[in-house]
Amino acid sequence: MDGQTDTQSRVLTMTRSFDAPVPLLFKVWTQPEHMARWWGCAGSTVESAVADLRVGGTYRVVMRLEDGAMHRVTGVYREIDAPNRLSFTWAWEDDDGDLGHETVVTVSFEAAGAKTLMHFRQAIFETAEMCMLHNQGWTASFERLDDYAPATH
Amino acid sequence: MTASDHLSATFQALADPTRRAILARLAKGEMTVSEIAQPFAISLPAVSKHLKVLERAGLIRRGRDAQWRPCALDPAPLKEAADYIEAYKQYWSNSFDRLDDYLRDIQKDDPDGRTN
Repeated sequence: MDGQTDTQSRVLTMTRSFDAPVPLLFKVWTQPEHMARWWGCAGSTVESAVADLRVGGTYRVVMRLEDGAMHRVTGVYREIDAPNRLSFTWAWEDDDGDLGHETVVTVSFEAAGAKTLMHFRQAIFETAEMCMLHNQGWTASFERLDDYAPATH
Repeated sequence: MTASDHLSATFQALADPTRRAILARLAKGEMTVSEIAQPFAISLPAVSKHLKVLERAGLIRRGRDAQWRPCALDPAPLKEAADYIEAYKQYWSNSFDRLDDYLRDIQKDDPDGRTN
């Protein structure tokens, strides 16, 4: 199955099944040599990947797009519970080394027979309303935003 | 401001419940500061402060009339923020497709999944 946006929550959530055991999933998410093989969008390649896998440790992945543009993403590990759960901050870094809007990524792995069910969350939104804005048309969203805002009642 | 700075300003502005409520009121149409302030149990200066944050984030536009300065909602930054999640969804879907292929590849030579 593919990703879905959870309309009820404040985060982008995706659930996906992989044909691999839980420890291997954890490994490919946390070891730079494995991260380098799949991180990034279609057509991009990873130029370098480093990860200091401990709470407070940082990771940094540099990706090269087909047009030669370089994208850098970096963050700090917040929670490491091998091989079940991992949480880290996520921010794009611009050419001056300044970080963009920070989000928090949490992934957990659940054994399902020989497969692994991966639960992915990215806390992009600071409010539930933002998710509604994404899922409804603008007008409908503003109506819901109105209902949601307690101070207006 | 860069695109990501804009986005940070948007999210920061939206993080406050009073500011969200102000936006909700403005979704109904243009209003003056005192009209906006009416349902809130806070002072006019406090409302003005919130309006300044919203204006800085580009979420509202204010009229030139110094005395009335009516406020109106500007949905563009909200749209930008919504596009942001869609972009991330695409991004991760792509990565997970690659991960799927990669896991298949590395397990071909190592059916037990003990790959290092």
